[in-house]
Amino acid sequence: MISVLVCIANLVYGTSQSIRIWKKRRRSDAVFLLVLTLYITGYFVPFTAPYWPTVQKVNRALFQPISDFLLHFLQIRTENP
Amino acid sequence: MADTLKISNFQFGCICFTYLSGFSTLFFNEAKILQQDVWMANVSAIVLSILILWLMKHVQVQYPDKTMTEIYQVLLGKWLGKAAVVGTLLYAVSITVLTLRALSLFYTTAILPHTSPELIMLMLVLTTSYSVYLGLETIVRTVQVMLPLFLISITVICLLMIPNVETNPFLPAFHSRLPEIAYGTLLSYAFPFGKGTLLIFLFHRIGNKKRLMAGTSIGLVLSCAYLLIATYLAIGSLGTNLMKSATFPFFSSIQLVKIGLYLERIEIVIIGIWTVFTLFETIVAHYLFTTIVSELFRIQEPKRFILPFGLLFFAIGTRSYVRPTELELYNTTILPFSTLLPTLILPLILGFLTLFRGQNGNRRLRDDP
Repeated sequence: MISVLVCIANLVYGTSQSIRIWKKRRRSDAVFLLVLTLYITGYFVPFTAPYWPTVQKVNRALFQPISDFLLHFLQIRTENP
Repeated sequence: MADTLKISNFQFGCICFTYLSGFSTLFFNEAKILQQDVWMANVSAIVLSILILWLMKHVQVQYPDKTMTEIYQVLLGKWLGKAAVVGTLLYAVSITVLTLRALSLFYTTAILPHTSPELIMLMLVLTTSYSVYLGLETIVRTVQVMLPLFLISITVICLLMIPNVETNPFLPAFHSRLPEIAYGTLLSYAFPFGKGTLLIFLFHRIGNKKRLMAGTSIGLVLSCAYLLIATYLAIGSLGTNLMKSATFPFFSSIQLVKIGLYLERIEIVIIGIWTVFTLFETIVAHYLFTTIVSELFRIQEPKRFILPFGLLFFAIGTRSYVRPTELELYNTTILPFSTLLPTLILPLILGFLTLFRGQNGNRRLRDDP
């Protein structure tokens, strides 16, 4: 429910502000805001949300092997007893 | 957001302390590995943090009229510099989302179990958006007003915790292995002290840059002292085993505080003050993100982008660290490595590039359009 409301508010705000900026002839800013709005919307749409990148997914993909290797190599236990 | 007034060194020191100390006492990740030897990790991390900030202050002094985003592009070249700034932006998103998730987890665990984490995150994002909209001067002034209140209340609660310390929190000392101390330093640098490197993007807003390190160092050292006091009070009150298994050890130890037989649940009052304090950390991160993006993409009216950036943090936050164990695992295994590039390696490269190029090279670069 909250996510749906935020998604609608995001679309309304982003579109209206993009149009306002476009009319002031700062077209690159308007396009940037519109792309940002559509990108944020992707996190709330059920079909796209699982595929949209998050920092957690990206960093896990990049650093999990390094972390696993180093923790094993240094014999460090991070989990609680 | 369009504010251009300079802030003083004292104000910057206050921002440093607030920004670093907001969440520092929440998890005690490094203390859960090192226990009594945690001071070695914290002191090493704070020394490293001060060195990095000193190096970046040296870089900023060489280019007094440029913002840090511009300096990245001057030193690394246009496209590599932009890529490095984008990497820093991803780091800013990472810590803001972590902060939102950590605060919502804390609230749903400690006092509001039936409230949706999304609702808490949304309220936080709306608050930070409004604060960023008011500008840096307002944020700094508010920090100056709130900081004494926080310091007095946390000093009182620490004094009240002393009678609950039943075991010597410093013994047994020197029982950790060197790799554990090194990893503890990495953890402590990742959270909270390495976060301070994001503040280099505020250096151009400081009036007297040559005396910049005085206020910054005091802010950093005080935040380290606060973290150490809280850690050892938690170890002494709870004991090492309970401290390692508690999700929020400092607040578990505050829960033990009682005044006489009639005044209990002191931690509720502390949580209120602490929440205001932690909000500043999110506000500063949100402000820096908006500033860096507007400098990078030359946005003329950044105020219109503040709310969408807040909603971006909210959107990513709803999809990240959904389970508390994910958050803990990420903080202890991934965060120490993912933060190294933006908080340690990039500043080191920039610092050495500036040092090796020397004054003549810098003068030539400064003359470039």
